[in-house]
Amino acid sequence: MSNLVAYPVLLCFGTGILQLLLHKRVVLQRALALLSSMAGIVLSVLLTYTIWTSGIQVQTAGGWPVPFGITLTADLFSGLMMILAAVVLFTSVLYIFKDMDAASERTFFYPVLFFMMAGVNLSFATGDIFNLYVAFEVMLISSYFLMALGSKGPQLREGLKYLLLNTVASSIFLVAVALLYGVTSSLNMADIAAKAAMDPGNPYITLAGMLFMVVFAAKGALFPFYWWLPRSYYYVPNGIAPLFASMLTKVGVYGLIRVFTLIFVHDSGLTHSLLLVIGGLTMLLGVIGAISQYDFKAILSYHIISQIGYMIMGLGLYTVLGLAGAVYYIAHHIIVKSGLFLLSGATSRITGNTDFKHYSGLLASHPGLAFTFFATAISLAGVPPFSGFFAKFALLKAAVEKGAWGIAAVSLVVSFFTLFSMIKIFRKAYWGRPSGQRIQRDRKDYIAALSPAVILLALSVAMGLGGGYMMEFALATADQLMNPAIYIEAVMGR
Amino acid sequence: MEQALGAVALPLVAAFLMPVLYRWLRWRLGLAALAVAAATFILVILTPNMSLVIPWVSQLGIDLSIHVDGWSRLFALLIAGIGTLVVLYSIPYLGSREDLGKFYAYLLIFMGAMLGVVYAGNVMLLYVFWELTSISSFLLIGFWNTRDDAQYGALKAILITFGGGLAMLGGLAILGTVGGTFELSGLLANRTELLAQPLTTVALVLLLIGAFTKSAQFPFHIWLPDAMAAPTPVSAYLHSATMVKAGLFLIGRLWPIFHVHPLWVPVVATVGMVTMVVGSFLAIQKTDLKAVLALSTVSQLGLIMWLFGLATPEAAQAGTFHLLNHSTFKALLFMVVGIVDHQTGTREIPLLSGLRRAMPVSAALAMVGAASMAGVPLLNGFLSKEMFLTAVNNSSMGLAGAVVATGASLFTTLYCLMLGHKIWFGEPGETPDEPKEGSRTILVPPLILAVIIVAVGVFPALAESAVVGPAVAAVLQAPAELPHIALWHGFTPALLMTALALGGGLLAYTALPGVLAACRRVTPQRYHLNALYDFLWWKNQAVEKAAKWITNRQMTGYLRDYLVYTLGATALLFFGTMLVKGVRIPALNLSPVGPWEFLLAAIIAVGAVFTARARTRLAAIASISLVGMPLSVLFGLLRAPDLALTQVVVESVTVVLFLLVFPHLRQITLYPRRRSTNVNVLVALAVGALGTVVTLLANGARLFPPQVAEWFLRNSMELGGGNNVVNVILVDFRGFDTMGEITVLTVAGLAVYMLIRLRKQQAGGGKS
Repeated sequence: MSNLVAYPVLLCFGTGILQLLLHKRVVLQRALALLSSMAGIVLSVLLTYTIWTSGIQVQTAGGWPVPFGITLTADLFSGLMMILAAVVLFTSVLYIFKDMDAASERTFFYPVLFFMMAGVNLSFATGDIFNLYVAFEVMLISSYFLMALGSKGPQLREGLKYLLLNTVASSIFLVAVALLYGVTSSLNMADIAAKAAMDPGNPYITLAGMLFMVVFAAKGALFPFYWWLPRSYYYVPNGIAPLFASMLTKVGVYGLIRVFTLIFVHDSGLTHSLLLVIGGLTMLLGVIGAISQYDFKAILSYHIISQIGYMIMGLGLYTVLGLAGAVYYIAHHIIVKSGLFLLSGATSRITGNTDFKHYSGLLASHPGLAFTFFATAISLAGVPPFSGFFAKFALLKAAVEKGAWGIAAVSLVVSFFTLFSMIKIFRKAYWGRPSGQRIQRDRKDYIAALSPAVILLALSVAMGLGGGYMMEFALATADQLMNPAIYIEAVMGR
Repeated sequence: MEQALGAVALPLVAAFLMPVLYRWLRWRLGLAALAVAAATFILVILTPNMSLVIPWVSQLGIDLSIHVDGWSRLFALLIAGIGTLVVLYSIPYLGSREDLGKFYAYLLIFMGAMLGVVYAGNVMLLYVFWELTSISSFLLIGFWNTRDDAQYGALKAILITFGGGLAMLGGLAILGTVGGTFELSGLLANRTELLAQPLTTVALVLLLIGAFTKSAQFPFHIWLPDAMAAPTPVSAYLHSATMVKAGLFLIGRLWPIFHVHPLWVPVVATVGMVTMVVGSFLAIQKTDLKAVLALSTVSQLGLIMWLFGLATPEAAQAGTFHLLNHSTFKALLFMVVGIVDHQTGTREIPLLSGLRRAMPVSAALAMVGAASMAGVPLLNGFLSKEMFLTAVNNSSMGLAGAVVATGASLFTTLYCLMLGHKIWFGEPGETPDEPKEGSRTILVPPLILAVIIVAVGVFPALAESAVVGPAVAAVLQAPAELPHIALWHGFTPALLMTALALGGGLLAYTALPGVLAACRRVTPQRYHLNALYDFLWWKNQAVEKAAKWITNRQMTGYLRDYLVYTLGATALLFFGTMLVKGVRIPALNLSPVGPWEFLLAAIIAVGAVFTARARTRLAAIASISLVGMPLSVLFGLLRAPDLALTQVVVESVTVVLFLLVFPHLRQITLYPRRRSTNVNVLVALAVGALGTVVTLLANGARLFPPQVAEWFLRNSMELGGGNNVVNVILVDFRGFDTMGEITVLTVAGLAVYMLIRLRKQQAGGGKS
C-alpha cells in the first residue's frame, strides 16, 4: 500500500483547482504551473523508482477493499508513462509561456490544462476499467476546451469533429464496459483478468475485447478510426500542440496495451494478429498521408498516426522483445514528437506560417533551429544513434524472430517514407533561398522558444546513447506486461 | 585500443566544436580542421590490430565492439590520409566566404563515422556508423543548398543510400537472428551453420542491396553523378576515395562468410561487371569533367566489385590492391579538376583546351592520374589492372569475361585520354576566367598523391607488405598461396589485353567525334533510370501525387463519412467476431413484455425515423423528444424512478437549450439522396443491432456470480450509511469516479463560458 500512486494525479487536480481559484492572477497561475510540472517529474520518477525496487504499487480509493472499490495500480509501464507525461508537460509549459496569446491565457487555460493532465495521469494510474472511462472523459472534455480556446472558424469546425468522433468512441467504451461487467461481474481490471484466466478463450470475453479494441483504437487514432486526428491537430494552437500530439493519443495506446496484455490475452491468435494487421495499415496509411502534405504541421500530424502503428506492431507481435520495443518506441515517440511540434511552433513564430509555400531558407539565419530540427527529425526516422533507431530495431528484430515478415517489411518501408517526409520539411523550410516574411524578435526570445525542443532532443540523444539502460527498463516493463499474473497477484493477493 | 577509440571519437567530437571555433578563427578554421585530421591520421597509424568489446545495448546484441585488422587498416589509412590531404586542399579551394563552420563540421563527422564503419567489429555498430556517413554525405552534397542541383543531388543520394541501408538493416536483423550474434567473429565462427539456413539467402540479398547502393552499383549508380553538386573536396573525399568504398568494405567483410554461397558469384560478379561496363560507357559521353570522373568512379567501383564477386583469392588480392590505387589516382584527378574549375570558371570539356601552357603543373599531375587509371606501366594502376585482367581471365567467366573486361578497359582508356590529354593540349580556348596556375598550397595535396602513385607503381612490394598483404589476409581469413605483386610477369594474356585496351583506346580517341556519336545513338535518351527517378520523386513527384490520391479518398473532410467508417468498422469487427467465434445469445429469463412497453417502443421507433428524416430543425427537436420522453416513461414503468427523473430533466434541458440557440443556427442543408445513404441506413441498423446484442449478452452471459453487486447491497447501510445503494455507490464506494465526473462538468461549464465570451469578442470586433 502506497499513496505514491495517487500523487501525480492529485498533484494535477490540486494544481488545477488552485489555478481556478486564482483565475484572475495569470502570473501566479504560471508560477504554479511551472512548480507543479517540475514536482510532477520528481513524483513520477519517485513512483517509478519505487516500482522498480519493490514491485507494482497498489492503492485503493477510500480504502474500500479490492475488488469492490476503485483500485489505483501502477506497474513499470504506468510509471514510465507518468514520467513521460510530466516531462512533456514541463517542456510544453516552458514553451507556452512564450507562445500563448494573452487573452487565451486568461481564459482558464492553466486550470483546464492541469485537469487534462489529471485525466492523463489517472488513465495511467487506475486499475479500474470504469474509472479509466472517467479518466478518458476528463481528458476529452479538457482537450476540447483547449482546442477550441481562442479559436477561429476552421479550428472550431475541426474541433467539433474531434469532439463528436471521440464522443462516439466514449459511448462504445460505455457499451464495452457494460458487456464486460455483465460477463465478469467486476470492474476491477485485475479481478477481470483473473476471471478471464479461469475460462481462457471464452468467446464473450473475446467479443468484449473487440469492443475495447475499437474504443482504444479510436482514442489512439488507429486505422480505421483515425479520421479525427490530422485536421484537428493541425489547428490546435502551437503552444499546446506538442502536448496533444505526443501525449493524448498515447493514452489510447496505453489502454490498448493494458487490456490486451492483462485481460484479453487468451485468444491472441485472433486479437493480436488483428492488431498486427491494424498496426501495419495504420503506419502505412499514416505515412502516405504525411508524404502527401506540404505543410510543416500537417506532415507532423499525419506522422502521429504512422508512428502509433509501430507501437501497435509491438503489441501485435506479443513477445517480450516486441512489447519492449513498443515501450521503447512510445518513450521515444513522446519525446521526439513533442520536440518536433515545438520546433514547428518555433519556426512559425519566425515565419508566421507553417505552409511551405510561404517561406524557405531559414538555415542561414537560424542554424540552431534548423539543426535541432534536423537531428530530431532523423531520430524520428530511426537513424542511429538516436533513440528512434533502437526502438525501431527492437521491433524489427522481434518481428524477424517471430517470422512476421509482412510487418517487418512494412516497418522498413515506412521508415523510408518517414525519412523522405522529414527531409522534405528540412529542404523546404530550412534549405533554399531565404524567402517569405520574418517576424523580428530579439535573440533572447528566440532562444527561449527553442530551448524546450533542445531539452527534448538531448533526452532523445541520451535515450539513444544510453540505449542499454533504456532497453533494460523496457525489457523489465515488457516482462511485467507479458506476465499478467504478477499484476493480478499484486492487486488481488493482498 | 585507445588509438582506435580516439581515432573515431576525435573527429566526431571536434566536429561539434567547428561552428563555435568558426566565430573566432574565421578563415583559419581550416587549419584547426587540418590539425584534427592530421592527429587522426597519426592515431590511425598507431592503431595496432586488436579486438575489444564494450557493452552498449547488449540486450539487442549491439555492442561497441572494435575490431582492427588488415582490412580495416587499409581503409582507415585511406580515410584519415586522404582526409588530411582533402582538408589541406579545401583551405585554398573554399576561400573565406563560405560557411566554413558547417563545412568542416560535416566533413569531420563523416571522417569519424567512416572510421567507425571500418573499425566496427559488430555489424550493427557498423550499421550505426554507416547511416551516419549517409547523413553527413547528404549534408555535404547539399552544402550549397540554395542551388537546385545541390538539393536534387542530396535528396537522390539520401533516398538511395538510406533505402539501401534499410534493406541492409533487414538483412542484418535476419543474419543476427539466424546466426545468434551480431559480432563479426561470432558470425564467422558459425558460417557453416549459417550457410545451411535458407533464410541466410534472404539476408545475403538484402545485405548486398545495402552494399550496392552505397557503392553506386548498377542499377543504383544514378545518385553518384548528381552527388557532384557538392564542393570538389567533398567529391574527391566522399564520392570517390572513401564513402563509396564502404559498400566494398562490407563486401570484404562478408566475403569469408558468403563467398561460397551459390548466389555470390552470379550476383556480385555480374553486378560488378555490368556496373563497370555501364559506368565507362556513360563516362565518355559526358562533357562535364566532374560527371566524367563520377561515372568513371562508378565504373572502377564496378571493377573492384567484380573482382570480389569472383570469389577467388587472387581476385580478392587484385580487388584490394586496385581499391587502394583507385583512391589515390581518383582523388588526385578530382583535385586537379577542382583546380581547373577554380581557375577557368568552367568544367565543360568542349570549352577547355590547351591548358597545359597556363597550368603546367596541373597538367602533369592530371596526366599521371589519368595514365595510372588507364593502366600505363610504371604507375600503380597498371599493376592492379593487370591483376584484374589476369583474375578475370583465370576465372569461371573465362574468355567472355576477358572480352568484356578488355572492352570496358578500352572505354576507360578513352575517358582517361579526355582527362589527361584533351583539355591540356591543342589551341587554348575561351574560358570564363583567364586560366592561370593554381596556388602552391592547392597543388601540394595532389602532388603528394602523384608521388604515391609513382612510388607504388615502381616499388609495389612495399605497398604489398605494408597494407595490401594484411588486408587480403583479413578478407580471406584463410592461408592462400598468392603471387607477389610485381612489375613484370612476362608475356601473359593480361599484357595482351592491356595492350589491346590501350591501343584500341588510342585508336578510338583519334576518331573521337564519330565514336561519341555512335555511342549516343545506342544510349537510351528517354527511358532510363534517371528518368524513372525523376518521375517518381522529383519532376513528376508521382509518389507524392499517389499518396495524395490515396489520402484524399479517405480523408474526405465530411463528418458523416467519418462516422460511417468508424461505426461501420465497429459493427464489422463485432459481428465478424461473433461469426468467427460462433457466439450465440444465451437463453434469457426475461419478464413478459406488456402492451404498454410495445406502445412506447413503437413511439420511440417512429420518433427515431422522424428525426432522421426531419427537414427543419424544429421538427428534428420535436422528434427527438418523441424518443426521449417515452424512454423516461419506460424507466418509470420498470420501477426506476430516479432514472426516469434524470431522463426527464436531461430531455427538457436539451430542448430548452436547443430552443435558445435556435435563432443562431442555419437551416439544415438538404443533400440529394445518394447511393451512400443506403450504406448509412445499413450502418445505423447495424449499430442498433450491436447495442441490442450487447444488452442481451450483458444480461444473459453472466459467467461469474455477481459478487461485487451483492457486496454493495450487503454493505450499503452498514458501511456506507445509506439505504439507496446507487447513491452510496456514487458518493462513497465509487466516489472517486464521481469526482472525475464533476471535473468533466466543471470543464464543460468553463467551455460554455469560454465559447460565449469568444462569440462576444468576435461580435465586438475583438474587444473583450
